[in-house]
Amino acid sequence: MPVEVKGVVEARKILRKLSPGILKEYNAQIAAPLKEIARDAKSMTPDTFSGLSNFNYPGYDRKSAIQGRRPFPSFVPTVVRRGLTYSLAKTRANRSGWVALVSMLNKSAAGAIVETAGRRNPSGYSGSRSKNPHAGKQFIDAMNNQVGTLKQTGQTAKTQGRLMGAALVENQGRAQTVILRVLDQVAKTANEKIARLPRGN
Amino acid sequence: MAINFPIVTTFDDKAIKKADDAFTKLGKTFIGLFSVQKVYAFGKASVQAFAQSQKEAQLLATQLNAVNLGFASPYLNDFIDKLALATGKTGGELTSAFVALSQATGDATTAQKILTTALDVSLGTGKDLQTVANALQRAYKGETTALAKLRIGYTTAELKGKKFDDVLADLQKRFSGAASDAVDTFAGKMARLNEAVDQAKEKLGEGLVKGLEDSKISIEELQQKIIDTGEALGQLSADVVKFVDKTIAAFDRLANSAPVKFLAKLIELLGRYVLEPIVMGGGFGGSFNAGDAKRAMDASRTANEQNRAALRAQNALTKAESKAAAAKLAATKKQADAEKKKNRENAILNDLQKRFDMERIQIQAALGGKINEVERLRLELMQAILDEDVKRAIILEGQLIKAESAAAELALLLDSLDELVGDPFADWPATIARIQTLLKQLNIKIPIETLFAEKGLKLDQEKMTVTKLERMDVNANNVYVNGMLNGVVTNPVMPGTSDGKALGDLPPNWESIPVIAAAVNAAADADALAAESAAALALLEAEAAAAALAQYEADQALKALFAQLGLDEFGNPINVIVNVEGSIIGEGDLVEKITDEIYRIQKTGKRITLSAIGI
Repeated sequence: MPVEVKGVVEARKILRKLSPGILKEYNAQIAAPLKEIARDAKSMTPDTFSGLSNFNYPGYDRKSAIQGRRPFPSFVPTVVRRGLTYSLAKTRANRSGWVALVSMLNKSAAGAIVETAGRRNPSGYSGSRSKNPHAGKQFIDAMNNQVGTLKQTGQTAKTQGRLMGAALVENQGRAQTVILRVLDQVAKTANEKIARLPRGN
Repeated sequence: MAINFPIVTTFDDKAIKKADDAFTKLGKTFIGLFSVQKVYAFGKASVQAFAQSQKEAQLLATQLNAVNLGFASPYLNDFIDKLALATGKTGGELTSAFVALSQATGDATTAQKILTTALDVSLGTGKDLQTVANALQRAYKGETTALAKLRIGYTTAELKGKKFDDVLADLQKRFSGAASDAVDTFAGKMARLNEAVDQAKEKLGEGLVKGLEDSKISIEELQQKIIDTGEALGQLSADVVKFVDKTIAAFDRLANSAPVKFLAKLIELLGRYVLEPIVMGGGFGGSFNAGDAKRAMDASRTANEQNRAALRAQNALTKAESKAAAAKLAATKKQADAEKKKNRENAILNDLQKRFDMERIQIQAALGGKINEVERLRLELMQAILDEDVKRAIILEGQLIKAESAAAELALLLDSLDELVGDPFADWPATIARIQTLLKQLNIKIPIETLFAEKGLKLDQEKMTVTKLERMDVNANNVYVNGMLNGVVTNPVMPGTSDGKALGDLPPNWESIPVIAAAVNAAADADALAAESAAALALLEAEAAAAALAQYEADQALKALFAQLGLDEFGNPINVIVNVEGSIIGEGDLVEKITDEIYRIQKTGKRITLSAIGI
């Protein structure tokens, strides 16, 4: 469940201008617990999926059956692990105006599939017109068995995840506590810096 | 797209403020439109808008009449209104574009189709609709220069080779949906709303004009009424201004009057001496004197000092907490350092202990000896298992498996040597090379000739030939080969010498030298004689051994016979003396006594012998 804070964007801006070194140090302090979560998520990533030969990397790049479209991504464990990371950059505001200041990311396409498969239809799409209508269920079952079930970090289905989501759930908000403490410190330092500025600036 | 799990968020109301401002402006527009002050202006603008739309409709009708499409005028007006609402383009722009296109095509349907495409291109590229419509109109007629000048991906040369229908289809394909995308933006939506407002104005103007027409008032009368209305409004405005001026003057006069001034003073005093003490905590009990005011000020000062003291205490507490946290951190670090040191010492001790582990010592000693590769690998694997070095153990196991397979191959090759000797097609060079490679690989120091000799074969490495040995002599230190091969004495030895001392090299063609030939033959004869003597001696010894065996068997048979007859081993009768305590009356008593005694001895597990003393 994300936590809302106010004034951090401004405080960061001030510190970036007045003392970038301190901001860098604070960023490192924020990054430490995030790295731990990313490491946990990486450790949950399997080397291969048994029974999903068409999802595992075959040793060459697959081509899409439809020209001009990108192929279904192959699961390359190194790429997926590389994609499990964090960001301290401010995101673009969503439709409601919310901006993420600290986020955990699962960047790779295959990683995103592993992360989210079964969010909408936990037992596969019931209206499938495929020759193998149970393929979706089999895929999701394999994910559940070999990686783990979807863990919910927030209130909506969009906050469910299997790698980063599960790592966040396991972290139990410890990272948030640390980050909030550091952000509090960032705000204090920014205020001190402003107070020390000569009058007229 | 990356999957994002936000951990810390904030609310950014920039976009919302922007939208809010835009809607406020829109609201203001409507408020402005319908406010009292603007009603007149709006009415005028509505009438103007209606007049403009009528002009456009008239223009459209005239142009359509010119191309014999006058009958479609009402429908096309409706189409243009709807198109204007959907795209946010003004009716005037659309009408002009449509007129231009209908003039070229002479067909309302085609003109509509081209207009839709022109709209897509215009909204997709940001170019003026009229410009695009004109270019398409000219292209329809075969002049493609204007279309090329639009810079929408066509050159003049390309367009010259294409039919207009193809160009239109291509444009439709490329810019399809551009209009819907453009109108879906905020600006597009606002333009559509503005267009709706404009159309509302037109309708209002239409209604107003129609209403005036229906009232049967002549234009002159209407003009007079409007002038009258203006005059009345002007009079009203002047009256209002006068009223306001008068009111202000009256207020000024009132403010300067004595009672009002007294009242103001009273309010000021009330504020200073009554309300302030109440606010400062004095309540209503205070009086209006200066002493109370001073007390109130003192109380305020005391409160401020208390606040400052509380702040100082809080700061001291924070400082103490941070000091305690630093001390705790230092203690943790110290503990971690101590732990590290202990671990390091333990590691050193473990190393030392390993050196005195007997099993390890034995393995180390064995490794220092002369061993082959397989043995070395086995020992090292044992060492790795003792060290619990899994990685090294896995590597060594792999190497051991390899070495064992090489050893097995060597054994197989050596076993098959006997068969290969008789095979005329045997590939000896390859076999020998392989054996040598395996010996080197396995670090086996035994010479290859020795291995062949153990199999009763002689290897000539120069000629790469292998032959069977007729005999071989082996001593404890080395293995060497001699004897006559293929009926020719190649390296004759002195008969009867066990150390294999050779006679020395013989000169070439020694057979033709009688003395040497005689000597060699004599030596061979002597050798054969010695062999015969040895055989005779061995026969005699065998006969003697057989006789001794027969004697031994006869003795054993005789002993068995004596035992059956109750005699000793030399055939003498046995006397048994039985001493019994107590009285024995008859033979039966004696037998019973002896039997009991035998049973007792048997119970103790001892053997019953003739010389044993029972009691």
